[in-house]
Amino acid sequence: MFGRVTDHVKAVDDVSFNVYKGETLGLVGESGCGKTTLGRTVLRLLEATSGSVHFDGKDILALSTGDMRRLRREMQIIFQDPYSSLNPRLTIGHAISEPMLVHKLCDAKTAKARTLDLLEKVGLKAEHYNRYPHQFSGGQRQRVCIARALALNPKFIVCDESVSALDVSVQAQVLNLLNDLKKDFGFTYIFITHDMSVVRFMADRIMVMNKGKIEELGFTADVFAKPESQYTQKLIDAIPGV
Amino acid sequence: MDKRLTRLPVVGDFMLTDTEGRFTETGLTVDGIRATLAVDDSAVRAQSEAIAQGDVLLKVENLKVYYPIKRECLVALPTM
Repeated sequence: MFGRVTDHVKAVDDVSFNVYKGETLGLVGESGCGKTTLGRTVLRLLEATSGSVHFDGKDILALSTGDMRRLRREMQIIFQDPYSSLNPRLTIGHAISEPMLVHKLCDAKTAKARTLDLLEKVGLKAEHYNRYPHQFSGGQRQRVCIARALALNPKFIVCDESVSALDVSVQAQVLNLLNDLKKDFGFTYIFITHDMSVVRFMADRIMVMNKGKIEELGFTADVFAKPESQYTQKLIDAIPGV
Repeated sequence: MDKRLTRLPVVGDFMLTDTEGRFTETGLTVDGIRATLAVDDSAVRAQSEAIAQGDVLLKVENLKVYYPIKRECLVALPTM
């Protein structure tokens, strides 16, 4: 309380980049490099120290709380841990329809119909509507989280290590689902991961972060074929072989 | 890792389950399925380049997120 500021942790340090409509930008780097902080700051879930973030032409760091709340419909996040990101006391039907009702997008009957449709889109069934999160496997819970993120018809989704908590065979299913949904709905993703093989599959471009700064930014094939930075090369070399 | 795939192989590509829960191997191998799903890098790059010619959805400029490190001035001294 009576402390004196002696220094700063530079979680994100003077970072500039663009994300294009329909693109998947892979954000990679080691744990603690600032990936998650950056992902949450561009959604204004964390406050920035300085700089600007323009989403669809609007400076989101300058928006009022009300304007930001309206804009949140268009920007969603899928978290890493499907076990802790669902309320254990809500049925998944309730969890998925809640954002539509909170944002007053439709009435309860329409929200239920849309929820059933979303369940089907993410590979779940209508009979799952009244079940609770503990009755699902990790992969199924992450599908519920994806359906919840889709409920508001967002343009932009930040996937923050969204498959890291899942076992490898389920990771593949969820990654395929995210790619299929992107084709169907035309989303733009920032895909945050520490796993280079995941971005190789998912991303159009890769942005490598190290100690809060951008180490390298380029097209996925180029970065893998000829990384410009030594740090990126080390990350690629660290991918375990089969 | 050497090639981008249109989709990742999943358990269902290698093993089918019938209505009674019995497993049947499909006979596909990892290399075989990877060969059928592989996409040429130049095609992927061309698609990504086309996207990067389009509209910017998110523009981040000189973003900084700093957290202060504080040194407490009322720290309890160790007892003798």
